[in-house]
Amino acid sequence: MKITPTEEQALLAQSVTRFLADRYGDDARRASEAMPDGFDRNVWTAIADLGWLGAAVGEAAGGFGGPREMAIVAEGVGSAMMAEPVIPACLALAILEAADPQSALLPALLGGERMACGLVSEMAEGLAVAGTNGARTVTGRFRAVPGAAAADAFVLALPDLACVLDASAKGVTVSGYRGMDGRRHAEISLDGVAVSADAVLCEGEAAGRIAARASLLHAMAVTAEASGLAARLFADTLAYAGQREQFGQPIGRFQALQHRLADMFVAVEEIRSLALAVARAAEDGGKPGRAVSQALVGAVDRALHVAKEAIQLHGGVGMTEDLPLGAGLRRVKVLQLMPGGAEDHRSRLTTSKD
Amino acid sequence: MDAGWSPSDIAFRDEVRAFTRENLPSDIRDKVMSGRPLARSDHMRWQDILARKGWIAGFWPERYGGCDWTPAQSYIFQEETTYAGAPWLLPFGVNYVGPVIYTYGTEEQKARHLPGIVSNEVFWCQGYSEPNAGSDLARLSTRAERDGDHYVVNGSKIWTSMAHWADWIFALVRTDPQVRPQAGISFLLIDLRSPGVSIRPIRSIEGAHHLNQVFFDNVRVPVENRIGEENKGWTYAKYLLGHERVLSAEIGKAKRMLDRLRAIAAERGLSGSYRHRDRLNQLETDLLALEWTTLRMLEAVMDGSAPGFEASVLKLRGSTIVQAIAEATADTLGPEAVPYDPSLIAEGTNDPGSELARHMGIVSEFLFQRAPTIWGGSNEIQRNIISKHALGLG
Repeated sequence: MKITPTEEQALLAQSVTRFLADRYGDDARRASEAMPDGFDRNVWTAIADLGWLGAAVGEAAGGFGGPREMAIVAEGVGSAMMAEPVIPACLALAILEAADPQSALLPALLGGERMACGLVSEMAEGLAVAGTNGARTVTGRFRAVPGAAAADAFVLALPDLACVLDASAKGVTVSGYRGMDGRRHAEISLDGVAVSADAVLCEGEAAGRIAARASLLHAMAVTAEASGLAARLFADTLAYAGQREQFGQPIGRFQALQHRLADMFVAVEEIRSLALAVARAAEDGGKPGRAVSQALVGAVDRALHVAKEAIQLHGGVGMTEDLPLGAGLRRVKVLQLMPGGAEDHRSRLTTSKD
Repeated sequence: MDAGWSPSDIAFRDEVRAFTRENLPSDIRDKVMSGRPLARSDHMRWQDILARKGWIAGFWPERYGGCDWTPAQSYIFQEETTYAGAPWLLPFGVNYVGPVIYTYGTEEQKARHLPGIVSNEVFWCQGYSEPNAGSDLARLSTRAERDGDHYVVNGSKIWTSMAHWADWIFALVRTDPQVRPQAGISFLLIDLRSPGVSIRPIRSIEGAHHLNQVFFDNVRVPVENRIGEENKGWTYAKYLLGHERVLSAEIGKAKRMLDRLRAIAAERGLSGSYRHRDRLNQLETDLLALEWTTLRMLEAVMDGSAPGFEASVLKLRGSTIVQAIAEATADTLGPEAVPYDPSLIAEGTNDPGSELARHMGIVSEFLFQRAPTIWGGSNEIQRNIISKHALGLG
């Protein structure tokens, strides 16, 4: 079976964990959130140097990985609740690599000098591609894209068109706002934006394949982020249950809490399993579909349960901003409600006929 | 989604699938598929087929009559056969007492007892729980007192599945009442034809008889039927409980039951209803999580990195999911689940089954599936194990 990570993947996971432990505590997260872009450019350069942004990009194009590597990075992002828009940037690079590995934009994005967000159709409303070859226009609204206000470009993977749009192009409006999760999101409006010939990465069937893969990677990243986040919130709660004393003993001695912690543990293990299932599908070049949507919904639902239990088991202190539990709940709620998040996948599952 | 099975695992899967398709008797399959209770002869007929193929105890070492299957092969075998509608391979001999005998037994005990399990000729049952020792199993009080080269056994065992079909029982008995409970237990093999053994049937909520209470009234058991050392039985029992839980995820069975749920919803024109789709979706998601957790744990078992509590996770979730599918299926029948007469689906009936009988099978299964969250260490006990061993909470 191809379940255990390779040695290289295990090393990557260790290096991600180490970087976050050294450089990205809760104070660093809060500082990032407070910056004008909603993230810290120094952190951005550091993670670009570590190769995180190219996690999904193969070696030939200057990256070091594939889907499993991107999932490892997304898990790290989840566990540290990073404000930096790592996942949109990874997604942009993955689309670009698949559509045009020679693109001049690719090395600039990999190195962190420029920043782009990857966009897939399930993140959009009112999406329409009009016109014919050479004279295409794109219309649509992406309501919640982390980091988009600071992006130089958007890399779109739509069912029959993959293209790069400059953030300052005519017809592109980007309005930034602070999100529930403390991150700086933006709404991107595309109003008949002209896609010039050199902005087109590919069209037709090839674009369809790239869009399917990008959707799968996006779902994988959401699932992996939920996994890292839930594991972190559970670890914090378990540690607290061992320290906090009431009635003359650590609260972790009480069976009422032990059983809830056991259920949280099982939920975290199941989220890991679901994240692995999606990563395996991405590795095998699978398509998004029922099982992928179920894995995403299952992971986010369980992470939401873990986040709420983490606050409850901490008691009063769980309600304070001194601890990162609130940030965890706010982030997982965004993973549930954002376009392309768990509720969208759930509604697809309960309405589509497949 | 594919776990990335090796070519040899895929070849084995195809072999098991083809064998089951060609050899599973259709009347048995029909009974299993519709959830109707199986007779002893149904189990034995299928197990005889497996015994002839050499697949009764596939995971056992070859020298004891097994095939040295890897954990992956055992998993594939169980999933493929149960998904195809084969009866549950009764675990009492193969999975429980057999491995205890070849791990801790004497050469004489191995020679005497293992061949009968591999050939499917000897039917075993398990004597663990007692009326006053359920979850707190170590408090068991069935006494075994030495009298020369025999033990004299007095007491009773309860919830003994299929004791009324069995030839032998393996039992935990108290040989030293003076020490702490775990330190005074021995593991005995007892011939159920011994004078002084009596069996009382217990009818369970679905109306079938598979549970029993077994009474021992001055039953004389040769000392040579004790496994391992006197008063060390708890060690062997814990080893056995570990084996029991590895099989509890029941992915193949859950998939089979989900197929039936979808079919019933389609028959009743409910496939498109929100209630059905939402519930089905939840069950499929839970099963997906369980399946991939099982695969992760399977690989950990094979590369030696398994932490030891994985079986509790699988038991906890597996039992809950199968239970939920069974209930969703009965609910989907709606008013058609109201007619229920256990005598119409009694275990001896092997006709192909009217629609009414099939529906009653679903009701029977809904009721029966309340048991898995209780048996094999209740789910509350599994949570205790997880909090103690995985989480380090005392």
